[in-house]
Amino acid sequence: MSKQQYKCPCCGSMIPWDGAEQHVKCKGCDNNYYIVTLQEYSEEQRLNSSEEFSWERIQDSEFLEDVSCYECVSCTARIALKDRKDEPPCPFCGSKTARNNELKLELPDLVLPFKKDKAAAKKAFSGFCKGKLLLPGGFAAERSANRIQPVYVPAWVFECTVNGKARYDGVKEKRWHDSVYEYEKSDHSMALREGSAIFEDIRQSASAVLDDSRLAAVAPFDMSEAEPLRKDDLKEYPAELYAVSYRDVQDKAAERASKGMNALLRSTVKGFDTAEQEYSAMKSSEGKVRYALLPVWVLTTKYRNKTYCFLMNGNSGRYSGTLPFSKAKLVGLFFAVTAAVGLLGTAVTLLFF
Amino acid sequence: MLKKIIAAAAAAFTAAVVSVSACAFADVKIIDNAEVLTPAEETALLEKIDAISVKYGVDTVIYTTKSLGKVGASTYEKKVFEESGCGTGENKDGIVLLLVADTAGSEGSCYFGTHGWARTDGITIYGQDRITELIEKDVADRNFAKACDDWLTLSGKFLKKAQKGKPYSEHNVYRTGADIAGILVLWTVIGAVAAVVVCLLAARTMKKRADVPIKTASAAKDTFKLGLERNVTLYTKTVKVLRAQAHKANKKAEAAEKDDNKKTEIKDEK
Repeated sequence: MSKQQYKCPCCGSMIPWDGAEQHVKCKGCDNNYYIVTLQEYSEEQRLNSSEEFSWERIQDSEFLEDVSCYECVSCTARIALKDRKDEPPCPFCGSKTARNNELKLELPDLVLPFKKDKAAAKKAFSGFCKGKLLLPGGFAAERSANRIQPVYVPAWVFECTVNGKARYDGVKEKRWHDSVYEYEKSDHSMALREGSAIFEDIRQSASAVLDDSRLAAVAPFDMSEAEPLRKDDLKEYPAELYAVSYRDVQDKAAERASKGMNALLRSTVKGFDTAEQEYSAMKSSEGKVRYALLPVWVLTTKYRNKTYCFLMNGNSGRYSGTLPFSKAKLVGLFFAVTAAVGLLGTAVTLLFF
Repeated sequence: MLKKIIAAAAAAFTAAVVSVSACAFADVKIIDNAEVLTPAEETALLEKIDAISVKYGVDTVIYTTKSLGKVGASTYEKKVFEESGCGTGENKDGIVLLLVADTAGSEGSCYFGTHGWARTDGITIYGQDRITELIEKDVADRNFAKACDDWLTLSGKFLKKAQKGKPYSEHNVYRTGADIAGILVLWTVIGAVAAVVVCLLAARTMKKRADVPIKTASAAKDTFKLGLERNVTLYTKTVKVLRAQAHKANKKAEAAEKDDNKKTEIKDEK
């Protein structure tokens, strides 16, 4: 009978097998194995981790003719607006825009409507500024709030079904000692997992100004409320043209989906003290990508040559932002607190102790 | 006969010395037997002594001596006070500072005695200890004039507080300027730490959700299906390590064995 050899999972020595026995023993580490286990282990070791993701647009690209496009002279953002006679200001930086007839707005697959109006946005910003001890005196919150602008931010929304496989080295450990030795016993297992899940709403920003982390700060955007573009949607609120195509960001979407699937499979590996992933294979099917417009209220202010941005989700009202702070007030606050605590503490100690 | 005459003369002489010293107390408030004060210093101190005596109605005496002999400071001071006729009023109110020049700096070289009202309500035992503690360094440095001056100043403060009905005590401690400054510095440091925390918190409020990491994608609800869930047991590995104490004992035993072997080799060679 021809002899085969299998690598011992424990010590790496080669274990010969003449094809007859069901059990073999490794001479290097004295571990006993079922030959079936060694064969399966050997097969698994040959596999290489992989990711295969593909996406396709829900519908073919179509460009809107009755919408004018403008380009900001300062931040180069490109916006589209309907029925506008003059150049609108840039919603991101407030600078002038210039009409650009070569630009065209692609028809979006989904538009999430504005539910929060300007009054709500101003109120949110004023609330954000309220009570901020370090806000510079020259920073007029009310006046700034008036400059808050709405804009539809472009995003690519990916969805797919992911089929994933993963293998983990599961280890259970036990320690004990007697008067002479300390013992450590580790039981190693090969944990195999396979599963599938549907990932929807993997959002990647297509904006030239607001990147993924900025949009994530005002997320979530409830895409179940998204609708096709209505006739009057772009009359009141401008839309930013996308700066990157879905092909430029599909790898990021794939990575997020892959990590999500890995996390799901890992969550099923239980009963071990440690479980290190050795292999994973992710494959997508029914991958679709939609071009969506997300409603955002934007306020960009400049203070002492620094730019500060306030964003509010035009659908849910969630906001994020940064405000300038006065160093003089910071120093004043420091000394005020130090003096107050110092004097009060001294007085209390002298009076009562 | 001669012996009797000598003994009588010696007793008379001793009585005379003590009585001369005692008579001197009623009018003389500074008795500088150790000669550690200059006339100018004495004059300055006397002014303060008079002020205290008049204002608070206590006899104030400074007594210096070269040594106490075999007697303790407390006993010496008591004897001096009692035999001298010091003290005003029914309760013999008075305060005495006893300085022993030869043992300046050691225990008992500076003793503060209080009598009558000065002891019960004026300065009290707390005051005695506290004031003595505050002048000990000057005494140890043989700066007797300053020590006496400080003693008078502090005694005046304590008596003044007592007259107002709020005597210094364990519950109303006397604090020097340095003590108050120390408390202020400590609370200022605590205040600075609190201020740093407040400033950091205030600065943090200037940002809201400004740095949010991108999350991994989440699967749609109830869409995750696990197709395969298998755990295949591979092997068991056991490692044993000699414990530290056993390791040391082993090393000792090995070293002892080596020595034995060497000795045996030397014997064999011989």
